Amino acid sequence: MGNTDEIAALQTFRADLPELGERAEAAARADLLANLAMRPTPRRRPVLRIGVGLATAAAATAVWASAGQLTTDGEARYSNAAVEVAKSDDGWTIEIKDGSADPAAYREALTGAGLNVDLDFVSALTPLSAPDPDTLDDGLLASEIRIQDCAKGDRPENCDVVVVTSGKAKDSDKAETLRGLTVAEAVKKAEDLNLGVSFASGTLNASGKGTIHIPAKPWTPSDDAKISGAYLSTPTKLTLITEETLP
Amino acid sequence: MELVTGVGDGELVRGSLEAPERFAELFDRYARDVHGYVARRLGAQYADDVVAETFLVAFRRRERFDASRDSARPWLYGIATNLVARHHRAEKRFLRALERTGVDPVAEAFDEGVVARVDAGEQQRALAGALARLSRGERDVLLLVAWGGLSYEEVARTLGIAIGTVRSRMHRGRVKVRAALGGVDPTAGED
Repeated sequence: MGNTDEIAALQTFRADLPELGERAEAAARADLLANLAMRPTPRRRPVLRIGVGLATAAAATAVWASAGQLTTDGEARYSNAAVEVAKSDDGWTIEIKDGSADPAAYREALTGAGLNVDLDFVSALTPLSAPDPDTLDDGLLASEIRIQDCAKGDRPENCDVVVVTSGKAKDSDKAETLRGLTVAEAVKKAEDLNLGVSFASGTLNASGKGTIHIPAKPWTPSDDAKISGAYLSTPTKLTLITEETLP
Repeated sequence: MELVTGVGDGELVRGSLEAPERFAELFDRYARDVHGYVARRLGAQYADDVVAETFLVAFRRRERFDASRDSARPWLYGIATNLVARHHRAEKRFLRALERTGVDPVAEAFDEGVVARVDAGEQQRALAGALARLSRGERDVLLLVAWGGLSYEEVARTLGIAIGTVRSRMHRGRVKVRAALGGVDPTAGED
């Protein structure tokens, strides 16, 4: 058998399957045409679309992404009614006091703690605010993390941190709930979504309140540690917040 | 809807920035090709959805398509391949089932209520086992070449990897497939 025979063999594999059915083709075409009519010309938008309920995650994201731009040293700390930001030898601690506070309050605290960050908040996520595919590479899953329907007074079970996959923002059943999973389970889900993973320690309750400890060095918790929240630290990297404490 | 025909893919995609309806012609040109590729990997049920989403993703990202390219086909195959990755567990499950039982769940899915099981030959079962054991990257490269008809350069550009990576994945994939077919290293003696 020559060098190309295994390719020839592969070319016979499932080679006789029926072609795209007329009904399915018509449905896909109609779906596309409907989207052609609805969608504006693409344009560049911010990397993360973050709702008010995700202000906690946004704040943490900004710190994570901008730690190298720290302009003070030592025990940098800032506190207001919404959040307290402090730096220690182990990394950063962000205590969220009000998960639905005005984003300006987080910006003020981060700036006050000496972090030169550029926050970009979007006022709210709506069911139609699909993830922005322009920020991702071809074929990678557009995804976003949000605290689903998390308004004041909501029942906790309605406020889970979720990953919403590309084009599925309207289908809540497609959302992947991470809160309560073990690290091993959450990592598996992240891998299914083509998302890289890093870890932080802390707890976020259903209303977005809590404390996040971002380790100074990469850290991996035990597989059975529980997930209390998550956020996207880059468009393709997920930071999982676990209840396990830092060493 | 009036469609403009007879233009190259690059011009078509570029024109769709101002006239979105023109993008439908790209669907007409390549939907069946892409579907055939995806269906061979995942079966009809998944393929219908993946094809629909492939063109929606392509439409949303059309601004980034290199209009100087002759063909949008590799670009669409790349998007489809990454969407197939969502279902890699199903893909492996189907392949292992075929290897183990000789019955292909992918082929079965096309039978609309009619039981028409055909026992696969030994070679098909061996191929299924080999494909199941490839890494996702190896499988993507091998099948884009074998089923999609893409060149190494097109695969590299499509998946965003170096051509050297394409070659090494092809080499490893071919070695594994060849071994499963009972042969020797197919690339032995090659440079």
